[in-house]
Amino acid sequence: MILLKKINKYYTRGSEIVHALREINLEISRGEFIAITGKSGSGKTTLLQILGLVDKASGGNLYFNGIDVSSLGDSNLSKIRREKIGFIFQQFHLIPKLSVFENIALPQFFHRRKIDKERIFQLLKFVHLSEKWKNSPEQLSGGEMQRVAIARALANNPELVLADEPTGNLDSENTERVLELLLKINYEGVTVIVVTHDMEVASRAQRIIRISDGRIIL
Amino acid sequence: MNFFTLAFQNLKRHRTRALLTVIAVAISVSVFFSIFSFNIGFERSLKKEIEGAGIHFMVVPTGCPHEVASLILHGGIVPKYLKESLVEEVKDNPKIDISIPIIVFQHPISEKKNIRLIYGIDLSQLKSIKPNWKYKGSFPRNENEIAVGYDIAKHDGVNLGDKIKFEGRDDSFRVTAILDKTGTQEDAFIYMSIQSAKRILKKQDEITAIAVKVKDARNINSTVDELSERIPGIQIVTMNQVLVSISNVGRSAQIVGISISIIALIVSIMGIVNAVLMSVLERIKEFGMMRAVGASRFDIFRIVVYEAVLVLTSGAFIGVFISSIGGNFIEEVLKSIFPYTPSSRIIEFDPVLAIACVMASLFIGILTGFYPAYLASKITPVEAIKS
Ligand SMILES: Nc1ncnc2c1ncn2[C@@H]1O[C@H](COP(=O)(O)OP(=O)(O)OP(=O)(O)O)[C@@H](O)[C@H]1O
Ligand SMILES: [Mg+2]
Repeated sequence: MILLKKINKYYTRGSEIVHALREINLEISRGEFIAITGKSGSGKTTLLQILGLVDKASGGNLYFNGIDVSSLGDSNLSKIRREKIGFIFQQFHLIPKLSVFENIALPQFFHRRKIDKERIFQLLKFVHLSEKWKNSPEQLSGGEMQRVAIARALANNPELVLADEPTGNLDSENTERVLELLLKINYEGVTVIVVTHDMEVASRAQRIIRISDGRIIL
Repeated sequence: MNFFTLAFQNLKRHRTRALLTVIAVAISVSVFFSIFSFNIGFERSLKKEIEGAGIHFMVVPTGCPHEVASLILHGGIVPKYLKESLVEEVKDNPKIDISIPIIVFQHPISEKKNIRLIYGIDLSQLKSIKPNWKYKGSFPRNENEIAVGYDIAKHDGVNLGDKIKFEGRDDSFRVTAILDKTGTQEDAFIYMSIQSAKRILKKQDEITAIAVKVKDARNINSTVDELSERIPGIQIVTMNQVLVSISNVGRSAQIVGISISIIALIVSIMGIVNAVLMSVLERIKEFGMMRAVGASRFDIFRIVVYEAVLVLTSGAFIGVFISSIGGNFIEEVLKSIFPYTPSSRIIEFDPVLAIACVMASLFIGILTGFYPAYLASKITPVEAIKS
C-alpha cells in the first residue's frame, strides 16, 4: 500500500541542518497494524508526516497505492488525504464551539460539502458516545475527546489511519479503550500506524518499527 | 454545517473581542451613514425650503450678494438700501406676479438697550414668504403688533401680550405671536409691518430688498435679464444662486464630516484586521487539523474571510439601525456643527443609502479578510501533527 524508497528529510534550524530521516526504505501492506517507536527526537513524527502526505520528503520516493506522490501538488495531496487517510492527534484538536457531532462531520464537510448523518451516528456508537453527540467538546473528558477524534478520523472511510501518540495524554484505562478501538478499526481492514512511546501499546501491534537517529533499526 | 458556522463558531469563542469589533464597526458605519444622510438631506431640504418661500428672486442694492444670500434665508445686515419707488418699477413688468418690499436693520429696544434685528414687511405677505412657520398666539395684523423670534423671546423673557418700545420712539408694540424654534437665524428677529419699521429706522423711502415672484416660473431668467437692463443700481439674486451659495458654504463642513467618517472607518478596519489576524495566529493548530482532515487552502481562506464579513456586516446593520433610531439626536448634533442648515428635518431614512452601506461593508469585509485569510491558507497540516 505504501512504499518508501530512500526517503531523506532535512530540516533547517537557523544555520543548522537537522537530518531527521536517513535513507528510509519501508513497505507497508494493506491491513497492517504498525507501531513506530523510538527515543524523543528520533524522527517518528517526521516519518508519520511523510506517510500521511502532510509533509514532503527532501529526497527519495513515496508510492501510495502504486502512485509516486513525491511530485504531486498541494491540491492532489489534499484530495488523497481527505479520501484515504484519517488522522488522530495527541492533542485531539477538536473545535470547542462545534458539537461532538459537527466535529466528527468536519472531514465529510470538507470532502463533499454534505454530511452523511447515518454514518456519523454509526461512528458515535462505535466510539460509545451516542448520548453525547450534542455536547460541546469542552464538556468531555480527555478519553472522550480522543474517542471523538477517532470517530472524526473515520468519517470519510479512510484506508489508512495515522495516530501520533494518541494515548500520550490519557490514563491507562482510557489508553486501553483507545487501543481497543484502533484494533477494531484494523480488524475491519483499515491500515493503522501509531507512533508511541508506550511499550504496552506497541506490543499490541503486528509490527514494530524502531527508529533511532532518523534510521530504522531492526 | 457550512462555512458560516465554521466562521461563526470562532467568533463565539472570543465573545468580548468579537463584540468590541462589531461595536467599533457599528459606530463608524453609523457616523458614515448619518453624515451621508445629512449631506443628501441637506441639499434636499435647502431646496424645499427655498422653493417653499414662494419667491423666485430678490432685488437688492449692488455690491453685496453674499450678505443678501444669507439675508434671504437667515437674516443679516445689508449696509445699502434701495429706493422704495423701485417697487413700482419692478411691478410694471407684466411677467411679475408679486413684489414685496422688505426692510432689515438693527435697533436697540428702549428698556434693556439690547440691540435687536428688525424685519419689516407687509404683514399680509409675510406668511406667504414663510409658509412653514409655526407660532403661538395670533399673527400680527396691524402696525402696532409684532411677532418675536424664539431666541429673542427666550433671552429677553418676552411673553405674549407684552409691550415693547424701541429707542427713539414713544409708541409701544404689542407681542401677538411668538415663533416656535426654527433653528435658524430667524429665531433672532422681531417681525413687524414695513411702515412701523420705516418709522423706527427713520428712513421714509428706503428698503433693503424686494422679494419677487413671477407669474410663470419658466420666465424667471428672462425677467431677471429685463429688470437688470432697465433698472440701474440693482442686483438680482435668484433662489438658485442662493441655493448654490449656501450649499457651497455647507460643502466644506460636509467634507470635514466625510473625512471624519472615513477616518473612523479606517480605524475600525484596522481593528478588524487585527482581530482576525489574532484569531488566525491563535488557531494555527486548528487550521492545521482542518488541512489534515481534508480542507483545501481555499476552504481555510474562506473561513477567515467569512469571519471578517460577519463582523463587518453585522456591525453595519447595527450601525444603520442605530443611526435610524437615533436620527433626531444626530440631526441636532450635526445641525449645530453645520452652518446655514435648513430648519426642516434633514435626516430621513434612505433605504438606498442603507443598502449601499451594508453592501460596502460586505465588500470591505472581504478585502480586510484577505490578508489574514491568505496567511491562514498558508498553514500546512504539519502544524497539527508537530509536537
Ligand atoms: N519543523 C522542524 N524544524 C526543524 N527541526 C525539526 C522540525 N521538526 C522536527 N525537527 C527535528 O527533527 C528531529 C526529529 O523530530 P521528530 O519530531 O520527528 O521526533 P520524534 O521522534 O517525533 O520526537 P518526540 O518523541 O519527541 O515526538 C528532531 O531533532 C527535531 O528537533
Ligand atoms: Mg513526535
